[in-house]
Amino acid sequence: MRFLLGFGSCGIASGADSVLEGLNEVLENTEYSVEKVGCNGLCFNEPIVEIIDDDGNSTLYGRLNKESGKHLAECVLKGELPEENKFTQEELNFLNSQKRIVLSGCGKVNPESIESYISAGGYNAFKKALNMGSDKIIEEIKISGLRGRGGAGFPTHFKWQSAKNSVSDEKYVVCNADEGDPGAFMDRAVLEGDPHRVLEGMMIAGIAIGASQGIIYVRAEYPLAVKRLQLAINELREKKLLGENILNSGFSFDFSIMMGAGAFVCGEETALLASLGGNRGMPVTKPPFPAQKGFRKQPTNINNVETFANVSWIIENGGSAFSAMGTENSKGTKVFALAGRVKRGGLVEVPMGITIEKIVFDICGGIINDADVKAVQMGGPSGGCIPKDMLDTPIDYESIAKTGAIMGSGGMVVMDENTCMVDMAKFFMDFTSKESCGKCVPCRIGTTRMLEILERIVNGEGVESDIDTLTELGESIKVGTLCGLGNSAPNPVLTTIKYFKDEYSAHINEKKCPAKKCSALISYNIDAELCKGCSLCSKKCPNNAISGEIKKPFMINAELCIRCGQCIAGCKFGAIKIESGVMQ
Amino acid sequence: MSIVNIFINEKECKADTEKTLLDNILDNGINLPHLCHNKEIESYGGCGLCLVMVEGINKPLRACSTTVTEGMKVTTSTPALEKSRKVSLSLILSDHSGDCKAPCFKVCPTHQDIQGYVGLIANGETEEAIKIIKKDNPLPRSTGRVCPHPCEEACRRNHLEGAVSICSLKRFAGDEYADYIPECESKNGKKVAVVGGGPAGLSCAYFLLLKGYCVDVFEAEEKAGGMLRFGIPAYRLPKDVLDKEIENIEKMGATFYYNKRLGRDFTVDSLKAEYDAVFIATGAWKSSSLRCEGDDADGVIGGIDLLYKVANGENVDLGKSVAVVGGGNTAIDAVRTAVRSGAENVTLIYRRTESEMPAEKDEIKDAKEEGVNFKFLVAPLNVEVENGKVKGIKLQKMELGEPDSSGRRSPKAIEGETEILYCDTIISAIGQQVISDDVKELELTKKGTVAVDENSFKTSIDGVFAAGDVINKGPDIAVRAIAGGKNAARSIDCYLNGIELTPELPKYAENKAFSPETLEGTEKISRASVKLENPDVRKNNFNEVASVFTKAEAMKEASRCLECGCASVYDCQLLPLMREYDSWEMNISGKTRQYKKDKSHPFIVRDNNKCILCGLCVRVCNEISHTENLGLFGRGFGTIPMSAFDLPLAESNCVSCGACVNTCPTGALTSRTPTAKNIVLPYLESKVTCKGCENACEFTKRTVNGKTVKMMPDDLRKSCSLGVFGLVAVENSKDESLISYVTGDLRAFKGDKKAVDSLKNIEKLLK
Repeated sequence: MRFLLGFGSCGIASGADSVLEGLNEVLENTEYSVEKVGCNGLCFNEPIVEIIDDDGNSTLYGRLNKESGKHLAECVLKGELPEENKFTQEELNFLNSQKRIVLSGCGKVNPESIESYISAGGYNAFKKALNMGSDKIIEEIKISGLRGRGGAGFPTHFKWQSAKNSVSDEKYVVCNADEGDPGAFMDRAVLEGDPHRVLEGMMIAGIAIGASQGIIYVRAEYPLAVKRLQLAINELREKKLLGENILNSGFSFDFSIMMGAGAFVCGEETALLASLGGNRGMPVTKPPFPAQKGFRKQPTNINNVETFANVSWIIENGGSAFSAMGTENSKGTKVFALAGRVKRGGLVEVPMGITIEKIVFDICGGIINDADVKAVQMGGPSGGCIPKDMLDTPIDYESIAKTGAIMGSGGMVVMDENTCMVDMAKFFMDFTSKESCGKCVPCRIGTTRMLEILERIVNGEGVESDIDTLTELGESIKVGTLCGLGNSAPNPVLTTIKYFKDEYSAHINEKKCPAKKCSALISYNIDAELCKGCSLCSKKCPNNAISGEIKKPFMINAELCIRCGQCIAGCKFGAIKIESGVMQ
Repeated sequence: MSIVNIFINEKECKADTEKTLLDNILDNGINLPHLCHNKEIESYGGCGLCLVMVEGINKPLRACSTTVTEGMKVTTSTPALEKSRKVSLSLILSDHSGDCKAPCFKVCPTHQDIQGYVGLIANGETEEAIKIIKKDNPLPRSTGRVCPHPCEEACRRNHLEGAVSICSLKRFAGDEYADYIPECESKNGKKVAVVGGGPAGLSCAYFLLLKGYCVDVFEAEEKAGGMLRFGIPAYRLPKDVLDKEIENIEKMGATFYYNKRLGRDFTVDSLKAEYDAVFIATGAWKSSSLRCEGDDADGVIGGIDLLYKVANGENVDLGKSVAVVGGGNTAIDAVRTAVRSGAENVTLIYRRTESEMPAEKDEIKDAKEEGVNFKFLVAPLNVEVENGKVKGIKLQKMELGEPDSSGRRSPKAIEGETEILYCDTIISAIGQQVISDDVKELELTKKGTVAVDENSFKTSIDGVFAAGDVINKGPDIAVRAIAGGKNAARSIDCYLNGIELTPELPKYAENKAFSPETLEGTEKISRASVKLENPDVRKNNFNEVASVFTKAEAMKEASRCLECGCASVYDCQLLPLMREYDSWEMNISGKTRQYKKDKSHPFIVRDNNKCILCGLCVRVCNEISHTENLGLFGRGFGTIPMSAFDLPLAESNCVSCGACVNTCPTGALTSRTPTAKNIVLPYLESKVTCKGCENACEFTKRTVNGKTVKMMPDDLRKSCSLGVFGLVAVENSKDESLISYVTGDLRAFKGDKKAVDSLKNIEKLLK
């Protein structure tokens, strides 16, 4: 019998610590102990405990606390599997249609124990790779069809081959763990839940390109990931799996961790390299590519966390097993972080080619309150939105790009009818304009000007020509910027204009926000028939905008109303309605 | 280095693989816009202007960061690339908070280079100043006396302690070099008739003469000058001053025919037959009537008629008491003339209050000092007549109502409140009109003025142009008539050469977001005015009231100029691109950054408002100077170059090598000259060898009016404080031996111990 407790950042934030206390109170002095594992991706039900019996049968319990954890442990010790807090069949559907390679160890292995990883087959691929040698490794990666999971989808074997071809005594393997998209947490989950999988992938890349140094560039905002990576590296060193002449193979390798200071642009590989070198994180033009001239001007191979996490599986199972999954040009699986208005949010790893619809409805259970889905934002601030009627788009690099969005690193934000698309576009533009490195004109000034226009529109000051100006600016920014950040920055605006132009028009021409979100373009009204005259709303109102006589319908003074929503939250009769458009 | 063949816009070219694609394109004589590139340092890719398409690659590449390969096919211009460049330049403009030209230049109707001539006066170079003035203004001595100077209204010193006395400075320069006549182009054989010798006519004649035309001026009076002679009293503009300015135009080759009046002695048609073009500037000479009962009585005269008579030396008897109706400059001229003509009680009647009076504030003050009474909020109701002669004027009392379209509060009658002001003469100074009969051959406006196109000054008859008070809106200030004459001359020149009329001015960037706070910390120096004659003395005669600055006074006053116009306007790399791509057209605007100028450094002025973030200063500081004094600070829109810890340049680790100043593509970094003011004028370039040390570096020297203003090493890596700034200092020094040393004669220098010592002093100073 095993007790696995989800102990990633999400689990800890939801109270895994107290669950641990509850479990330990019971399990103390028994033969059992709690195994702390990473996030298994079922974030909607944290904190989670998985009970695995001696036959390997698994039962999941979620939303636990100290008391329910204690109760669970007591029952299990008695040989019972209680119904309380057990995942329902519907909740378990979350795992349906998933195919886990990258996440296979998350929630299963103990991230703070190399033994746990090794017993699950870890480092077999590394040993195999040592015997295969460089060319065969790269060949296998080529057969697998693996493409960069950081967003751009550049073929991994191609990068490895050119880094290998660059002649130098000093080469580097760099892991880009600067996960910066708002709403994305795939890389964090892998680093926290299964750090050895990433390290193993990097070591194999080291063999492939002839590098002896691996650097993980990880955000300082991921302290648990940094801690577990460092622990994993220390364990590897102790096991002599790092250092000079590993396992007498003649291959030497070691790791170092560099923490980034949280600039989004440092996820761009050339900016990342600048930051690694101690300089301001600003992208430079390519060529030269990092594979030719990277860290310390030496050949450097940079891949994303998820890309590296696929490598050991490919080496162990063969490239063709990997390429058997997915579509013609997009092979294997992809991890997505589901957030927004879905019933079950969390981490999803699916084979390429599955439709977005399937992820949103079959895996994530559809929209909260069974509301209507409006669109899905893919690729974060660099991505775009895909409207409801295009959700049958299959997940592959080319099909997603055709919609105007990008595959991106895997953030997927689901929006329902209450989301204002203009406001959403403004949110992302605000993000990119602040995160611009300041180097090139179209990005530095262009995103600022686009943001200013969007701010005017949501404030009800938009003018007819704004949509054209936004489109004109957006398209030119895409042509003229230096790096991927700037190049993709207009995507959220351009795709929302493409699919939701009527919402922009409503804001600009009718001064209405159809989603009833933009406070300058809505008004609050009390339905006289529903209002009982209890005066609670007027007491809640922070601006004294509501008045009336007790037991008679109250009124809202539109000039004083700041549309904060306090009255709606307070009204027991549902008498306060939001209306699109400002009362004249 | 290896040479390959590439194709640029389908033309086969040689290219050097060691150089970037951009440098190869430029080396092949093909223009490709760029603002952040310097071949001496690593490519940056910031401005995004040098985009090109390379065959086989589906997205644009930055030529500055692209290497060349054999057979490469490059296209430098496609609609998408041009659009991208236009958007980038429009975006740069939206965040480039600088004034190419000073506000005074912009508001002056003749667009005189005020900053230029004021600066030259400050530097003691008055002769150069008059040359600058007379490039744009043929009558500096007259306008230096009578111009209501819109330039001074625009002066940014108004935010501190008061405008620079620009008008008086012009008077100073004009009087100092009263004989200066600019050189005219050689005669082109074409003849133009100018009808009317007032400011518009004189100006048109002057500018046509400069262009080599033969000009005949037809003047209805015995002497030329128009309103300057007959509408402006001698105590403001002495006639000999005006005579001299007209004489100068005569000396340039104009022939004046006096007592020749349009409609009486010749017609437009008859001139057209004889001349290649005709210019009409006959003015507006009819005083508007009072339009009330009794306005035809004996003793009611027009303001202009009074001034004309006095100017013509005619005897005028106004009686003891005079009432002048009106609030403009003519009304003031009339009351002061009445005082000087012996009237004892002179009253100005105006229907609003003093603050609404269109007349110059200074002149109102001067009139009060001379004993003129001012009666506000009254309007004439009727003239009180006795025996056909004026006895007085009945006035309606008024109050101010709502502001009208011009923003002035309109007067309203207070029902039933009237009074009578007894007087012997009533002068109506409420405006002038064109005598339409004179110009009836031409199409007229509803107002009876000649209708002309505002840009070309063309009338309804081909080859006939008009400007000044006679056209469109009618009477206006003299300097606008001068501007009209000047622009009409340019239009006539284009017309006679069959070329399209070019815009009056090229476009310039302006600091729309200027905030007076950016002037904080500027030293306050009070405005100097010229001395005026004592009121008790001056009111008895027509002698000139105002004096002229002495040279010392002028230099001091001129040095108050804030130099708002950009020091880099003639070598800015951004401005020509903004014009080429019309960055104004997209009208992109938004928040701007506002920084104070850093003037702490002895040789460098940093104005980050103009910074376009090309990164050149930061990069040369690191890669050329290895000082690493400058770095980029902040992120996104707020990114800005600064020295470590944002120290003022003078306190930073700057070694004054000047590499940043010499690579800045805009006016964000400019060098100081040792003179009081930086003279911003078109420059000449020549090659010199620096003899500051044994390296003997080659320099390009820039000179303005023969004075060295900038030194740029041909090899950026040879930037050093002695070469870049020291040589300018030496060249501007009064020490003759030093000058000969630097300008080339090493042998002459060798035995000269004094020169060696002076140079050492300068070196010490620089360190």
